[in-house]
Amino acid sequence: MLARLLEATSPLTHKPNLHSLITMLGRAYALRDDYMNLASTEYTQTKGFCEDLDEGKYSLPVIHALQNLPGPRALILSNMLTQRRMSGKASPDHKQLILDMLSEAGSVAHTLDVVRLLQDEVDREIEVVERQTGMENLQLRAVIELIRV
Amino acid sequence: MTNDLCSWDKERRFATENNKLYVSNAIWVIMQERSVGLEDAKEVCRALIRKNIEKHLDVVKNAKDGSQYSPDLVRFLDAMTYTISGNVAWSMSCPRYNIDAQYSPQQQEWMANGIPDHLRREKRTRPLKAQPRCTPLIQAADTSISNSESASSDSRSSSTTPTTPSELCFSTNRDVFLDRHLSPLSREVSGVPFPFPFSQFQTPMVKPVLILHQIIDGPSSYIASLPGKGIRNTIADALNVWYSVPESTVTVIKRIVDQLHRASLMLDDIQDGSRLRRGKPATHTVFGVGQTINSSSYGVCGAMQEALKLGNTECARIVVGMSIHPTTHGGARSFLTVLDAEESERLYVGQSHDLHWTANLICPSVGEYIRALDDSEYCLREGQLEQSK
Repeated sequence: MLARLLEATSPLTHKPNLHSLITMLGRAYALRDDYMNLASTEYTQTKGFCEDLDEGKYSLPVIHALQNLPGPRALILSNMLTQRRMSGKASPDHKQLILDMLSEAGSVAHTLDVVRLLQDEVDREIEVVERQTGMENLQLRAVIELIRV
Repeated sequence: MTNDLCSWDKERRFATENNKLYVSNAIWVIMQERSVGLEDAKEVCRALIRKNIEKHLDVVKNAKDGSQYSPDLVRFLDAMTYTISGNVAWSMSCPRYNIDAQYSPQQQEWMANGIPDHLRREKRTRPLKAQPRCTPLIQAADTSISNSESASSDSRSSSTTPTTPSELCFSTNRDVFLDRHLSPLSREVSGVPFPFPFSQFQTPMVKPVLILHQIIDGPSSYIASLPGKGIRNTIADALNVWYSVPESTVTVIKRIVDQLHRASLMLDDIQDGSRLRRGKPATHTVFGVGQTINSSSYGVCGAMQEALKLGNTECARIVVGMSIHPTTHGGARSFLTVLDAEESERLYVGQSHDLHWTANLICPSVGEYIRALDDSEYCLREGQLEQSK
């Protein structure tokens, strides 16, 4: 929305097209959030331990695990998610077990791979817009660096 | 500036005694910067004080006229005004800056044995008449203030030869203070040294309806106060490198997005049943679900109003989210036309999928999940834009 409002109010006659960039940026950092929620100790401090698991959110790592774990293991995971629905939150023990299963399926690592792929896409899109406009955007590159995983 | 003007003698003495090559004082800075003598520097300083006091009084006046501020803020501004005048009165006469000034016997008594209980702050609940609670702050003050007429007119004609410490400080700007600012008090000053108008503090100064704003803004102010500030504003500035939108418009846009963002976070926590937000109690656990929803809706209305005020139909459409046909911009397919539904609509639709999957234990495909992200990412999700380093 931010980008669209800026585009709408821009006085330029040839406005740059940031659509792909913004889409990639949004995906990269939404999935980064999925990853950080499970992997980062800093997130644990500011947001609570694996808060996404309390919400029963189908984040990318959970989706990946459900699709890739062997049948009986996937059954355990989906049952734990059902229990969470019933009790409203996951206990620390449950969270730890879910985390173990996500690791077993390589889901957290997979999410990190996806985030890094998307970050590369963002870098490429920035280059595209820089070429298009003839304007280097060091400021944006600096912000991207701050949140790169 | 007032303090520097009054403390000049003391600070110059201090610098000399300590073999310093400079004096930590505005007068010194002015002398150096403008290559002027002491008296000229003081005159410059007085002019700056006058200018700033006028500005201050203007701000206070506008704040009261506009009545868009809370009674607490207006009271605070009044208190600041009294602080300024109080500081002047004190500086003109205090022993700290005026070598020949003496503490009054009462002050010496209070310094030795404390302020009597019946004069302490906690007791000041009833309206007070012009009771001499501060009694002569300093006795020298009486004479210098009551002589203000002659002192100031003298000094105007011969400001280079100050005769008393207080005159040195306030040869001309004393008029400004006493006339414009202390005028209701100045007449009493010589008789009753420096009565503080506590009675004024008892009456509400602003329409009570303003308090209602504090209540409705409570939840969104709370969520704005939580740690873990996002970096959306930095990204806005960075993207604007390419868009060249005027600064004032960018500020409004940031405010619009901020308001919507706060509203979405509050609603999101209710919808997901989150107890925590950024490691702190979620807004609805503090203010209750009803108040939180109300504050969110109010925030959305505020954002729409701001968007309309921009006077740009595209902006209004993006924020208000009216269904319209895609348009083209200068012949080129722009960002605005690529999307088939308006942003705020997509936001809600994306969220509905998320909630549906979670509530019904339906695991979406990766494609469906990404699609929902694309719809809701701009506002709802926020951890994504928190700084990690």
